[in-house]
Amino acid sequence: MIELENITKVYHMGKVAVNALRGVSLAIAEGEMLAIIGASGSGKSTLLNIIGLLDRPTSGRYLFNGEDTGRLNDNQLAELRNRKYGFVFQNFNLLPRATALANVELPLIYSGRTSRRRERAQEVLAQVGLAGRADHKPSEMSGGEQQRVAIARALVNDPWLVLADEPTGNLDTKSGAGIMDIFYRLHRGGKTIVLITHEPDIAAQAQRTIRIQDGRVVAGEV
Amino acid sequence: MRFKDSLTTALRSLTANKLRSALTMLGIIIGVAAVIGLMSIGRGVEASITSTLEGLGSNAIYVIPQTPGSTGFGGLTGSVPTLSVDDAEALADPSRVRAVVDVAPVGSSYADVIAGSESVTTTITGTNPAYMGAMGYSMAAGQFISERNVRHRDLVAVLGDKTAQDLFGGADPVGEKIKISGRRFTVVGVLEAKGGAMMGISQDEMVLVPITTFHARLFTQLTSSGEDAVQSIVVEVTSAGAVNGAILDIEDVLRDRHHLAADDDDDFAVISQEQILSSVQQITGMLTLLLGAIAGISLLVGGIGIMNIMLVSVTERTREIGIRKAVGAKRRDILSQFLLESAVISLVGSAVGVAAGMIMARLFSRLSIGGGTMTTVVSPDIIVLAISVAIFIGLVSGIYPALRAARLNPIDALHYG
Repeated sequence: MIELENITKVYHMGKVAVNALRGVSLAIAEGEMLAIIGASGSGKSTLLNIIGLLDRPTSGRYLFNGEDTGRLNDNQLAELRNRKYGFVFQNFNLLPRATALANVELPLIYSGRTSRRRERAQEVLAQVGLAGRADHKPSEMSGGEQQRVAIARALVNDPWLVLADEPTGNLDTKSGAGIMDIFYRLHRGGKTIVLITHEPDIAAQAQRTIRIQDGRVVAGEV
Repeated sequence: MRFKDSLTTALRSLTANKLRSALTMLGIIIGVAAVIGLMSIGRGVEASITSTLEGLGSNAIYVIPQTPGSTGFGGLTGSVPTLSVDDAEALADPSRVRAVVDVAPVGSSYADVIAGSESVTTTITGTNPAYMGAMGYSMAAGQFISERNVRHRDLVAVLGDKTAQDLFGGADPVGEKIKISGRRFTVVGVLEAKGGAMMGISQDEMVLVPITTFHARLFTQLTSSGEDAVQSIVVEVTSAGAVNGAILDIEDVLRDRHHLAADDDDDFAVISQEQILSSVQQITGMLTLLLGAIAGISLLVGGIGIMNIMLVSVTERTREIGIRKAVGAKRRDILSQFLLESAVISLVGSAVGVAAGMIMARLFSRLSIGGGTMTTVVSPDIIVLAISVAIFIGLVSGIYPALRAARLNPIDALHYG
């Protein structure tokens, strides 16, 4: 269970203060699939980054399973990101010089796991349909395949929450549909998923949709 | 994150950029090799001079002319002849100089020496039988100049090992004739090779003749009081412990003989082997230090190279750092990855540098400069010094970029570029 209470975020661009979030309250229950929609610059990516513990809010409280994440230091946040959160980015964000397998293995290395890392990474790659592509580098794969690697990396530590920032934004319709199928399948399997999307039919298939405008939640139940 | 994983990560990123890693290492390799190579030369010079001087015997005292009032090496060069054969004879009196065993006057000059069709230009030294023992020579063949030779101003000569080789090749020179400044001398003996050179002058390149013959038939030079002048006097005393007492006596005798008033400066200098050794060691020590400092600069430049590359690498890999942080890398994980990268560069660099430095030292020792070969000494302390300086520089120059990388905010790093 994630609870956000009156979250604000102010960026300082030189002397200008930008209010990216102006008080967002939100609860994410285990197993739900939440879609966040909104125009560019509305603050939805900022919100996702804060939910994903990549960024800290300027004010407000963020509880993860009842624990106030504001009290955690950077190392504790890193550990939480490593074990409980999985990220899928629009531009994949894979390590370009590492193979698919090594990319998927990365979170396991940082969680200090020593045994059966390769086997676990292989297993998750197989789940996203890339069993035969383990030794390929990102540059040798299509966009859809790269995003599957990214999803495998997000899933390898069996996180509580998977966050996706426009995961189909850089893909053609067909590969995008393949990626979304994986998310739907994960949701059916009970995984908690939060994703940002521009596409109405993706939002329509989500369990719940919220719209962000000017740093506030303007539609959708809180 | 386990150390092994950090190391693997660091090694992977180094091998992913082979050329860049190799060039960075080159800076450290050249630095370490230069430190080891150059310092081995300094140490070699020190060792060869020390062994040469020690070969002279620690119970020898040298008296040389000195321009009154001047001190240091400046007063010793080009000074007027103030010492004479008679001074040497006076010093040989045990009732005036404590513990004296023997005294050798040394007159020296340069001349052409001809044997058959061979000819060399070398040092002609006029001296007496005491010289051999005081200077620590021994005979390879024949005999040394005798008292009788000195008394009769005989035209006899003893050859240094190198000079004998130059003039006669492998043949036995004893009994052969040589010409010095147009006069015919009979070779009566050949000295055992001593090896080593002092200030570039080989101790095996010389022709020894009786001091009386030297003055009467070859090079006539008088002191201001009209006595036969010598370039130096070697006094041999019973033991090293007797040296300091003997030096005081020698000074008294010579001041007396030279009619110096109480407030006149000495017109000679008395030096013990120990003094020469310590001042030479001081000079060679400074030489070693100087060479090391020059090499140290190149090591420093190599270190700055590491820092430069690591900083570029941090900037270039900002997104990679962001990705690693997003999936759970802690500060210390990023810190150790970048530190390990610079540590591996400096470790491998200094290992290769040590090998290159030792090869350099080996090559230097094969070079021959002015007829003498150069000695190089690679001692473990130089190697330890070079490696520890290299690793220190490598780590220090790696820490700043590594800290910068570790402090990056994950979201800023992900959105970089």
